[in-house]
Amino acid sequence: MNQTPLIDIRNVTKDFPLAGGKVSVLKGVSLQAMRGEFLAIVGPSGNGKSTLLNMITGIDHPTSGEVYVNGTPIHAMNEEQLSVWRGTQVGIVFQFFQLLPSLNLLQNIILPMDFSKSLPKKQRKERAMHLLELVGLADQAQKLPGNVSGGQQQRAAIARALANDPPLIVADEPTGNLDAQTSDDVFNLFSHLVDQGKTLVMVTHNDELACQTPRRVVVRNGLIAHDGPCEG
Amino acid sequence: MGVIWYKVWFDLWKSRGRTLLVILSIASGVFAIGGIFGMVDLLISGMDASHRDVNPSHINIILRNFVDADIVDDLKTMDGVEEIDPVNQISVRYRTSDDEPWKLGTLVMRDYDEQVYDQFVLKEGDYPTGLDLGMERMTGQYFDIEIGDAVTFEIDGEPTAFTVQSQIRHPFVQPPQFGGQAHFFVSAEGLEEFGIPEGQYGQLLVRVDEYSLERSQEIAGDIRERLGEQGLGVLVTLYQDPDRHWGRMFVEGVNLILQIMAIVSLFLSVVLVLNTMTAIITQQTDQIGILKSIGGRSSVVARIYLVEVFVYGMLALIISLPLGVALAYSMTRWFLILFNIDYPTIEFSIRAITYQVVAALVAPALAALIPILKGARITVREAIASYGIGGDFGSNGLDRFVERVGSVFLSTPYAAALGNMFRRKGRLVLTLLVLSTAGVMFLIVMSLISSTTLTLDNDMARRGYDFRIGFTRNQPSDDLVQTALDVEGVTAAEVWFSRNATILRAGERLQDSAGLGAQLIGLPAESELYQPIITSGRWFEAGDENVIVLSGETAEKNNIAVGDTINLNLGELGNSEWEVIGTYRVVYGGGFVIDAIYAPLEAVYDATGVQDEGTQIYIQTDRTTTSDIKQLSDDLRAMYEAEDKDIDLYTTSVVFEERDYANNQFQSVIGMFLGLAMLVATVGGIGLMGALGISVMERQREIGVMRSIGANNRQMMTIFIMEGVLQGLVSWLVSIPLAYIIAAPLARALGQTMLDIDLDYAFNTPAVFIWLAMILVISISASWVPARQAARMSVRESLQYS
Repeated sequence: MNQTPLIDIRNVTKDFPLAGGKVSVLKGVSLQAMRGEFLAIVGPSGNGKSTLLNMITGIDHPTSGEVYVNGTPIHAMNEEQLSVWRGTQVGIVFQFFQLLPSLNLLQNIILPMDFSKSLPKKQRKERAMHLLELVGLADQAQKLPGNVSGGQQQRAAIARALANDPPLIVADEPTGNLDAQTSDDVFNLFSHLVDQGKTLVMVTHNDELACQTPRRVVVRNGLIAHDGPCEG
Repeated sequence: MGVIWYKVWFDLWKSRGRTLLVILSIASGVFAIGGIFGMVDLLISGMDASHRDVNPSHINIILRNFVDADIVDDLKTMDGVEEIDPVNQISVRYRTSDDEPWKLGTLVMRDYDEQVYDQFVLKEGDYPTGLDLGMERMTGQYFDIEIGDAVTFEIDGEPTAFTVQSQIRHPFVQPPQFGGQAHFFVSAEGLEEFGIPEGQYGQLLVRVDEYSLERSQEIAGDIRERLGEQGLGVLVTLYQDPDRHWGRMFVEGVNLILQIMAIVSLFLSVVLVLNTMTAIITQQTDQIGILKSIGGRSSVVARIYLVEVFVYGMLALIISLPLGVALAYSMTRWFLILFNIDYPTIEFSIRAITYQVVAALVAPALAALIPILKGARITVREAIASYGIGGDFGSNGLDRFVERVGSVFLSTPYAAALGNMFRRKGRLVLTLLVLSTAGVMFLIVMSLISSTTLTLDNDMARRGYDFRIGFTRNQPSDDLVQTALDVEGVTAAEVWFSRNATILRAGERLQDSAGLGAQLIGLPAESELYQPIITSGRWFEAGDENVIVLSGETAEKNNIAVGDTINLNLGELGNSEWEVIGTYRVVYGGGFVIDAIYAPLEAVYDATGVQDEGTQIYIQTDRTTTSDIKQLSDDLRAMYEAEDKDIDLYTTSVVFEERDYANNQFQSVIGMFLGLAMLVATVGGIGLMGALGISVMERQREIGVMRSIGANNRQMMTIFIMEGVLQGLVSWLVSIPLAYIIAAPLARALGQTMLDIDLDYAFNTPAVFIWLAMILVISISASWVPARQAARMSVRESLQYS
């Protein structure tokens, strides 16, 4: 079994400049996640959990420290390199779905494959349909995001995140805009993906949901306050 | 690149209104470029080609006396003379029906089968033989005379009718709209009816061996001297460039200004593209973030939006290319017809089409490059960071000032409109730039109109006379004055004496500055009927002897200053020395005027040996309307003709008519400028509509919130219309001082380039309020559609994530 962590965050700090000085959002955080892990990051608002997630996806750069994902030192990459890297190495699921409104669901899923050219052109549509079937949206393939429900959009977003078969899926408040039933559906889908071998990191403010994951990382005041299964 | 192109198509099609606005704004600039530059190319080349086709003479000498073939043959042997083509051209009185008053016209005769220079073209019928009458083409069109019509001429006081049998194109007639007379053609036999025997010629068309203006002037001077030795005089000398049409001066000045305005129009439409792309990128920032989060590179993002711009440009080109070609052809044809030049087949200018392609495809892409590259460089974090309505207004002093003004002076919806205007300052600046430019152009054009009116009024005010009558030969002054004063309505009459003159200094011939050459004009030193505007030195005083006042242009051209002494060669009347005591400002310039050198009449008599004779009489009347003055002028002319005093058409005119003709030349040009100013205003309106439309799209969630707290349709519309109106008002305020500063030098430059005229400047204050009304109409019209869009948006629509 491969013991190299998929995610390896080493003593990362992140400061944001303000008019009156700076604010330290992350104050020396270290975290590792192995392949196939499913972890939830929780914590009070403004304490750094989304920032921590952004370190993993390369959306943000650490002020100091190192971030390795699948062995790649992403802290040292520039924006262009990160864009290309994200296409094949990480699938991101956002709170507000972030589908392109001008493309239908099927096209939204094909798009990352077009960027990465990971599959021959003729196979992309087939894979996209397969992913839509996986998330239960095959019959909505031709619809625009504006014409489907929030839950359906989020499932489409998950399908898009899987387009290039990345090892890591990252979700930032994926159920923040969904009702309870739909949230459960999304969570079940995540569990299924983990069972399939994906590593999944989820930021959530929903403690109940977080406790359903095997590993719960609590971020408080820019530091990891707890890392392990839910207490009690 | 695959499915991403669906996004491009979707963006263009879903926002059809915005797409159409951008295309129209690019198309308007490209259309102006194609039309104007196409016209410039076709017009000048058409005019010059037509000019060359008639084998133009270099010198056109209008004689004071008739000469026979022997004299012509003698002149042909002079050094420097390539050939001479003798013709006849006399002033006649005609009418086309018995109840019409007599009008002044021109009768031409030449050997039609052996034309050498300034060749006529037969358009219909045959060249006149016997007592046939031909008419010039523009004469027929303008004065509504057709083949078969009878034209009656006054010959020795008796009406004599001729029938028009043919239509002929004369290459060198002044357009009737600009004061040109009717031209008719007869054979030698026909001319005998008018008292001119066959074999006698009054005009010589000359070509020199190696053309240059200086060479032509030199040879013309030699010819004048040779004629002078035989007691023969020259009335007027005209010079022509064989390669450049005589109307070029007028057209070139206009073309330059039109080209500048076309470029400004394109610049403004490109600014709109910049504005629009900035707005689109801003609106789609989150989409850019998404693209980058799923593997899209900056180059992909840039390509997407550059393709959108290219599509805008391509569609604009499809619309504007044929329209530009059509406009160029139509305007060229209109101008050429004005100058009596045929233009039957549609042609196009490769240069203009190339400019249009570049203007449509390259210029917008270059303009959009900045926001596109900036957008492409947005990071995922920057792009997806904001989720709310957007609360960046209020972060600087300007914003807080605007907010205070709004809260103190305006109710909440209007205060919101004022604040909204300043939320996107870059876009506001660009929109204001377009609207202000339109305002400045409009005010400049209107000031040009008021300046021409003022200039003409000022000049008229300096003329104490109502009309003048010129004679082909010297006439006894007392006779002229007595005849004039006997006419009821004439209140004053003054005789002047003039002679064709060549300006010399230390034996060297100097340049005159008018198409009809220089003339020494003797007038009473204390004349109250005319005094030009003195620009240096002084006018005459009692007791002045051999002193002259020159035009400022001639003085400048030849480096003559007040106090200098120059020589004037008056042909058969000899040479004499004169001191320059002043210079005056020319008001009417161009090819059909003389370069007047004024001197006291008594000094001219002394210098020439002529006494108590004159060549023009200046008449002051108690009449106040143009028609009454014209009638009086015609009556007096008839009286002089009855006394065998032949009228000289070049020095006979009514002041009101001169003013009208000068005004006509301005009006046709000003009409074009006004048209372009309106085009720019339209571009400005489109820009404003686009900017407001984008504003509605950007503030979708904000609109939803306002609707959810009780804003009704009328209030929603008010906010957006007010925003548009405020932008219009601000642009109006900005354009006034700018126009005031720029209009003066620009109006003067326009007067100089178009017609060699130094305009008196008058800022058109009423135009400021006309523009205010127009900008309000433009602003409200431009705001209406986006405002309705905002008003129709439901809360659900605007608050759902898009």
